[in-house]
Amino acid sequence: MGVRIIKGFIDSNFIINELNLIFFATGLLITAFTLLSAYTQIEEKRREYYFLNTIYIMSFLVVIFSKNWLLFFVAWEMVTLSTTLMLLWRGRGLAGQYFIIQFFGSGILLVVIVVAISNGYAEIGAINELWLQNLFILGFGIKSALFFFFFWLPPIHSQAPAPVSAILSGWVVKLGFIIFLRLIPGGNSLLLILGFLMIFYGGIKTLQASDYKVLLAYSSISQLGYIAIGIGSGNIYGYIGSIFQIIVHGIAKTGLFIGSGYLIREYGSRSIYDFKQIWSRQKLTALSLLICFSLLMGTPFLLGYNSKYLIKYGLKSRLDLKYINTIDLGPLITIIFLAATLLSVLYSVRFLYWALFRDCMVKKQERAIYKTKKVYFLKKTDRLNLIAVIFLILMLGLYPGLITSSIKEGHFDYGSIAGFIEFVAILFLSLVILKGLAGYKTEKSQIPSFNFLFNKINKSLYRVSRNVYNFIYQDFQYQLLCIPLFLLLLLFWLSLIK
Amino acid sequence: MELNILLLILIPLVTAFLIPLVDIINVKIRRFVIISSVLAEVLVSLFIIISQYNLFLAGKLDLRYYLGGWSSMLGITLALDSLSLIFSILISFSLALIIIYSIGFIGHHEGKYYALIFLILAAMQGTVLTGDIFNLHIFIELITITSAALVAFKRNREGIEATLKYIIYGVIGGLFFLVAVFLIYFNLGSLNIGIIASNFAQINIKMKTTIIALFLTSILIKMGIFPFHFWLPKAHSVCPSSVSALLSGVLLKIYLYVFIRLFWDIFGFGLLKEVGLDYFMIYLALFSSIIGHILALQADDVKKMLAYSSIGHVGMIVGVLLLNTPTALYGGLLHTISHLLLKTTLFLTVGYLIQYTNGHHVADFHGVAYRNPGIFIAFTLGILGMIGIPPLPGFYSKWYIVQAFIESGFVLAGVLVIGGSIISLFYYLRFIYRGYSLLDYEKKIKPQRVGVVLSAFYRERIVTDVSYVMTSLVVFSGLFIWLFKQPLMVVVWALIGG
Repeated sequence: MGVRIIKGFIDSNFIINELNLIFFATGLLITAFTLLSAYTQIEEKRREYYFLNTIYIMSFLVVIFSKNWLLFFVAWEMVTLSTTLMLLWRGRGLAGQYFIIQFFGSGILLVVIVVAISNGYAEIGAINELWLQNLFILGFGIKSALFFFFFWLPPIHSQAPAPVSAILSGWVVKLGFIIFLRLIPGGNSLLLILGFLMIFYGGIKTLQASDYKVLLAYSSISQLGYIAIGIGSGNIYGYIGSIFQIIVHGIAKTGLFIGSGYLIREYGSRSIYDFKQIWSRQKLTALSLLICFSLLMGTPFLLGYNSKYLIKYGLKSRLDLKYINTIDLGPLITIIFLAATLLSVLYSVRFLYWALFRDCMVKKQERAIYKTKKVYFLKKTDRLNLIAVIFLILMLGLYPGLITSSIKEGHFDYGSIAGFIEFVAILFLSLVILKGLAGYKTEKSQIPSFNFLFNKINKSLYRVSRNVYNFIYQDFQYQLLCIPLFLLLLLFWLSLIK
Repeated sequence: MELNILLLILIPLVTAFLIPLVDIINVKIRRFVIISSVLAEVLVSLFIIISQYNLFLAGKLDLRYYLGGWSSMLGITLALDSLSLIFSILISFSLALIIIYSIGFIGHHEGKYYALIFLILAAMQGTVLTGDIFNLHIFIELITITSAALVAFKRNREGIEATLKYIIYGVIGGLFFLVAVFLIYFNLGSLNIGIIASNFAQINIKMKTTIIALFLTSILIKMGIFPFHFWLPKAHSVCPSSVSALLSGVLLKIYLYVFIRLFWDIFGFGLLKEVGLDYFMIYLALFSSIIGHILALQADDVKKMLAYSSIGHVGMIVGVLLLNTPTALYGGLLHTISHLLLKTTLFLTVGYLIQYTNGHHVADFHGVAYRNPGIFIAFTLGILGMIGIPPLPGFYSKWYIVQAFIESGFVLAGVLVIGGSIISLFYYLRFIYRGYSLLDYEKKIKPQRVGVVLSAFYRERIVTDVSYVMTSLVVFSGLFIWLFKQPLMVVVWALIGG
């Protein structure tokens, strides 16, 4: 009896299919990595931190599987709440800002969801009307950091503690896109355009960043753009590509943010120009940086290549974009996409140059000196963590079938040497540009923050409220005068009837 | 003939007059009299629920008690239907908790306090249970007079000022009510609610509209909707916190009950629609709601802030009820319950917290979270419920209210409701932020738990325990919100059908 009720509840409120299980497994793996790193990175109140993580895991489980709007929204708010509480480990200012922004986003989302429900979409599923799709893009905008609404992402993700950054950047911002996969299977031009804007804006900002975590946060925006393009193209290849991209970016960003925690401990600085001799100080972290950035820039034989290749392919074969006014847009899209890829390769290579390759030619004695200067020694759990990330990335690259046994299109085509050549060309080009820009070194950038914005909003709200108060609160006789006035007005109105 | 209904009114009434007598004999006995009376009240309520639950679910609950055995044409009737059962239960349980809290909070020096609060309890139960419109007026006046005495309970300048304002507004409202009752009696020759309801259509339209205008003005004054809200913040903030909880948490809902009873049961909602007042009322109520939220921003006094927020929430409830759709009524009633629970919790916990601060100002909240972390967490939970964070009850009612507005085509109203809750985030978060202002892990300042040398309470344990019970009720009702669905829908269908 009880079992039947539970089964009925699950059947009526959840969709359990292969795709959702893949996402859940990925999310669980990412969370497991962050938990491992939290063992050394979070020093105080570790038990409470793990408890919050449990709530977080349960909530994103419901978000991924639910087809009931109310349940989905409740679970998403729980994700927000638990991550907000995790941010308290950095300080209540950051947590408060994150909470206000997310609450604002969820307020918009609630209205949009209710509009959808009143238009007949009782369950989470494909949406046919274009205006409602666009409304959903607006509604998810703040939560998934789409263009125009991502202003909160770099400050929050760069200031959070390393494991929390990994959770936020690796998985929480993806949840919106996972829902988009279900809502917009047919593609949406607005999402496509926003995706391109995100790639270019994020890429350029990443190139300028000198703070390591800010760099990672901006590159998140850039990489999320690929997911948006994949979903927006409305093509099966783009669709699968964006699934791959969600997984790729989730794992890569988790590895990088976890590594950032160790690096910042080691160097006592967040500037990428201070990361000297990572090879001799933290071999494993250096290796993980190399692998993760290769994954992000789409090196062949890693999963990142598959995802970007598929998204590009899906974009090219989208019919309504190919011909507008009988002009063939195919080459143009190829060029734009190539530029986007170039940008992501460029910022990856730039970082790798400053962090890893700049001083790999130093002499042995010097290296020995650096080794003795070690500050942070990787613990067993840290090593295990990094090895697991690297192993996972390599394994997924070699056997993408592990993810999608049923989706044959996603498998890496080893025959496409052309793709490899293209990649090498891009890499070469970017290296050339970088070599010309070897002195290219931005000034130490400030951590982006919007404290001033919050202060301004707070003050202006207070002022407005004060003015309203002064306007409304007149002398007592005027306050009392409202009663007869209201009554007379009411009687006058009612006397007009008949 | 159901004696239980009479007992609900009689027990507190008798206790109120017994307390001065007990005080003459021995003050120490009073506590036992109070507790046994409260327990008796709760037990009678429980007995009524258990014995009538099946009847209630079938929607056929209609218990009557004829005072003195006179028929309903001549005598006074007490009636209990599904709507009054819900409100009666809410009153018994919340008042029981508030009175037990008062034992710890007010102490044993004030016999008058308990006499007054039991009189209020009797009057509230009477308002909800009476089947006679003149009796309704008597009970409302009784509430006004006794609560005025409680507002002035601190016997200071602000208290007397607020009480004068409260009494002036209350008496004017009561006067309009009385005139309207007279008009009904002159036209129909009966005061019984059932008889009035069935014969109200016979009155000519001019007289009907006059009666409606008088009742509307009176009830709007009592609920503190916008042009008449001036008495509310002062009255709700100067009294002891237990009285604030009673006034803001419970008493406003009694007037909501009277509003529903008058305009749904007696006049029929069709009449309000016929004279074209429903849209006007919706806009007025929503405007009042937004004004309440905006004014709460400038209120630095924590209790004033809570009182302004009550204006905001009551306006929202009135606005949504006037839509008269099943979702709207369900959302409105659900929000009535959740606002009762949450506001009571907030005032009770604030009552504890401000005993350990210099004053009610935001600045005085500095680090108050470390006096008693448990109570401050309860306060925070209440706030999270108020702004509508799942899984606390405030969220679900907000969801249904927005849904009701958008289903009826009031998209802007839905946005306003969300906007109100975003504004409320700003004014609530200040207090949490201040409360935890010693917390800063970055600077490695470990907050010390502040020891209290002298307790400010008569029985501190009772105060904290009641606060925790209230908070657990809030959390419980949020987690098991679906339990409310069936009973509330019974009421909703009774209102719409009748």
